[in-house]
Amino acid sequence: MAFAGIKVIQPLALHASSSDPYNRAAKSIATPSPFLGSTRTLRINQSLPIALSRPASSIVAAVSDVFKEKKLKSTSDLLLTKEEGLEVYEDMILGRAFEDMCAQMYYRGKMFGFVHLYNGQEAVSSGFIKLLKKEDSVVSTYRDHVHALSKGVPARAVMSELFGKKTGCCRGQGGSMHMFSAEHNVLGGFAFIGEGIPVATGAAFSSKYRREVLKQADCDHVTLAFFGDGTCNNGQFFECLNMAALWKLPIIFVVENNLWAIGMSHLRSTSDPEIWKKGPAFGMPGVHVDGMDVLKVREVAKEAIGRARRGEGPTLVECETYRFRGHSLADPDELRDPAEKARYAARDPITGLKKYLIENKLATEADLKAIEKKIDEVVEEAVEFADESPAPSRSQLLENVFADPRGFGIGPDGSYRCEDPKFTEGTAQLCFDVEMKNLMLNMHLQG
Amino acid sequence: MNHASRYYKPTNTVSNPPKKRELSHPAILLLVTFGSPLIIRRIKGQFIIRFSTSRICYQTYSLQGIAGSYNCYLLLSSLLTLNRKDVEDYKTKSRCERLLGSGNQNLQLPFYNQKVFGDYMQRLIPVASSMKHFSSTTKNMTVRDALNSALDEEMAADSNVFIMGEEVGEYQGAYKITKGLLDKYGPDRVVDTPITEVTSTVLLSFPSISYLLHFQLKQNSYPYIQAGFTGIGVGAAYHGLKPVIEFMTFNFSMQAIDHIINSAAKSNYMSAGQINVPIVFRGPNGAAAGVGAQHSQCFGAWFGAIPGLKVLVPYSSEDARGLLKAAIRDPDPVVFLENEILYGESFPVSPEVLDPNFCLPIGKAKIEREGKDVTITAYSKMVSFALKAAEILEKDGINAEVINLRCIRPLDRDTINKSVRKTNRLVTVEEGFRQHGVGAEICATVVEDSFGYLDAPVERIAGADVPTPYAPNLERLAFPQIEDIVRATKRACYRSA
Ligand SMILES: Cc1ncc(C[n+]2csc(CCOP(=O)(O)OP(=O)(O)O)c2C)c(N)n1
Ligand SMILES: [Mg+2]
Repeated sequence: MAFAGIKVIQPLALHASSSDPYNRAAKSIATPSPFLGSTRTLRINQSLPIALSRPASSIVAAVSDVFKEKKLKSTSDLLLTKEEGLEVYEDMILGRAFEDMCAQMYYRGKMFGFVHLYNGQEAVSSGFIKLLKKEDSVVSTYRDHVHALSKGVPARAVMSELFGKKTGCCRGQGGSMHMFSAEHNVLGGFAFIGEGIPVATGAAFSSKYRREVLKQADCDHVTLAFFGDGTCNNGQFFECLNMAALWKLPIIFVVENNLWAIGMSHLRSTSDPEIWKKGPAFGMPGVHVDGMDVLKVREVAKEAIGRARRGEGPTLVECETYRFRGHSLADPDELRDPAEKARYAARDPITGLKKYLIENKLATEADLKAIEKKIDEVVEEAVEFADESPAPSRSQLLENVFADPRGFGIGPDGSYRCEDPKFTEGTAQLCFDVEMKNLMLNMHLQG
Repeated sequence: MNHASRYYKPTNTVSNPPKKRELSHPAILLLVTFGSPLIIRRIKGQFIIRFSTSRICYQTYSLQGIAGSYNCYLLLSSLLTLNRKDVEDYKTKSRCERLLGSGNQNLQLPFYNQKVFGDYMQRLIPVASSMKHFSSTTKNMTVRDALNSALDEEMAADSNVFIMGEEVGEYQGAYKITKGLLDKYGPDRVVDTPITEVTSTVLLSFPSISYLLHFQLKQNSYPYIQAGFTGIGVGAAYHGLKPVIEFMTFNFSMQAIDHIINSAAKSNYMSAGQINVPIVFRGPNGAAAGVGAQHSQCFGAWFGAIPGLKVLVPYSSEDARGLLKAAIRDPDPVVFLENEILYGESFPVSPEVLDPNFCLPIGKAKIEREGKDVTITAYSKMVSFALKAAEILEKDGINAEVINLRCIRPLDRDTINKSVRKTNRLVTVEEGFRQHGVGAEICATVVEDSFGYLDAPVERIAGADVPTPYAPNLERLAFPQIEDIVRATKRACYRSA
């Protein structure tokens, strides 16, 4: 089974080409300064138009041996239907408009802490997640709002969560970096680098288990794990690639390579910046795709998701993309070269899709305008909803610590603490100091 | 302008009794600021460094294992065939102090350009420039600057010290604690790592690898040290490097906790003292604002439970400077828990605190506020809450003593118990979880040592028994507030609120 509609080339060919920009990037870091790779020389190199300015037309899939014999199919005429095109466009607009609104709301003090926005990377979320079924799972990072939106979590629930309100998708308990929705199989935004990957691998394992051990033949659910380039230097990534390939798990590792991990350039932190190559190293296909082109992402995603669903195992997809804003809203974003930013801004994935839809007569300007207007309303409505929603009640503090609240133990009267009607109302503050006090005073009196 | 005579002040004898390390930095400064050329003579086993423009003599001494002096040792030994025994001789200390204090107006001619020292001086300039801080008045300093200056000075003083972590270099630190250090010390000593907590930690936990780096340092990047090392050889390498690992926040140390506990903390014991691990793990710890469950928690009690670790919890700028310097100079692994919210806070610091020699003893708590009615123990940010609560309580006629623990392990049982024996009441405050917490340990300590002195049950104030919620109103409920301390303290004093 090959990746239909994309050019598949041998891994070696990629290396042989010395004009390959990626290759040049690799070379530039092959001559580091004396000790541990000085940063100085690299910074100079970075200002060259190197790495990842690969011509947008070539999607390169490098393949493991498993893949080599498969024959190639040529690109079909149109990559998607009108309905699909509009759906994807709407999703991308939603992602962009939602995040822009988050920035505004953050500066107005409506949201708190770290807020990481997704602007510029929409083609990845929309390109992949719009192909999923509701039962399929998505595991994300701290940059998770848009993944949740693409997976169908209503904008108002996400916005309300960001406002720390009771109507949020996690009742205000999770926050920006921790979006969960059991209903939509969004298994979490995870704030620590790499930690979502094993969770996703576990989700894929459970699909396989249900199908093969529990004999639920219809369980063909797949899991998408999203994470960044910086995360690919973390050990959990490698451990999971190994396990997923070993057990042929229905998972796609989607690397959103936006070239930066906060202020650490991908080239400065990674011995071989071509992340997709790690797939073949573990016996699974590795694909590099232009992550600023939603149609290409979608093609690759289709293939990879299909493979996973058919039980053919995992795929590693490296999407070359770029974030249009700082790492988080607190990031001064001083290290990225303005020329680099401009280069990627010119490849805005939304503009690209718009152009394709119009040129191929899949949509008119008016159609797209209507979508934009609709989304504006959705986002406005989400803000109003969030703003008007109540804050969580005090009793919520001690709820959900355990699935079985008897985990809080037995109280002074011999019954479970959680059964005390005052448990969450009167004594939540300070971890039962009042309760403990009473207990101690009782003992005091008895003694 | 020569500040050397004003510069050298013996540090406070109460909190910091004179130790070998005290004269370390002046030794370097002297060399930086005094004129050239040097005349170095050996008289009766002592080294007399004479500056041609003056008659001042200077004796180096007490150099072993001390950051600044060690550098001085290298410096001198690059000029002389010097052996350790010579430089360890500090019999003439008082004489030296006398000489240093005697003023030398006509010393100028800095020898930055001198061949032997050229590069070295580059590294020493930060130390020299820190002299501008020395005035007789107290000034204010943020905790951030305190940490930054402590790192800077220790790096200047000891080229074995280097810092490694995510975004410590080009980004100048996620919380700007390492600001400016990359420019001063270069990428070899301010090392940006990929997001690999586990590996960075283990890499540096193992001294054998440190040795390897050490040789690389010598051969590739530090020719001037090479000169210094000629004649010292392996003896110098035997000390190993002194890595300072910055965790962007201590939450991320969870990915590396295996190596903090199993590699760093246990190597000295497992190797029967053959291999010690002089490493510092530092970064912000504790509750932050609005960042949810995974980014907002205190690990004091976690690391405080581990033999082989020293766990420091600075509150003020004085703590930050004195304890970080102590941590870096310490031969054992130190977990250094900072607080993000305190970084921007300013505290008055005395000239003594600004002295590059300033160093606080590990294992000693500080009584931040004296009182007679009740003892409140706290650490890190909670010290400020406890102090504010004490002010409120004062108005109600309760005179609280506030102990800033400074160090969770080893715990200063002595200071705590002395205070409780005086006040007969104890309130412990911490952000971390109550069960098996720092407060629990303090209570046990007091019950063990001063049971008969307690007039009331101990009050333990801690974070609520929940992961940190995101919503601001719930978040506030999850951590101790000043009112809570006031309320609990009144209870401990049998006063109604
Ligand atoms: C274990 C761990 N270490 C450090 C961090 C701090 N941190 C948060 S995001 C980030 C950079 C991640 O970069 P990348 O994986 O490329 O994702 P991107 O933010 O670019 O989407 C770092 C270092 C963390 N969250 N977890
Ligand atoms: Mg990235």
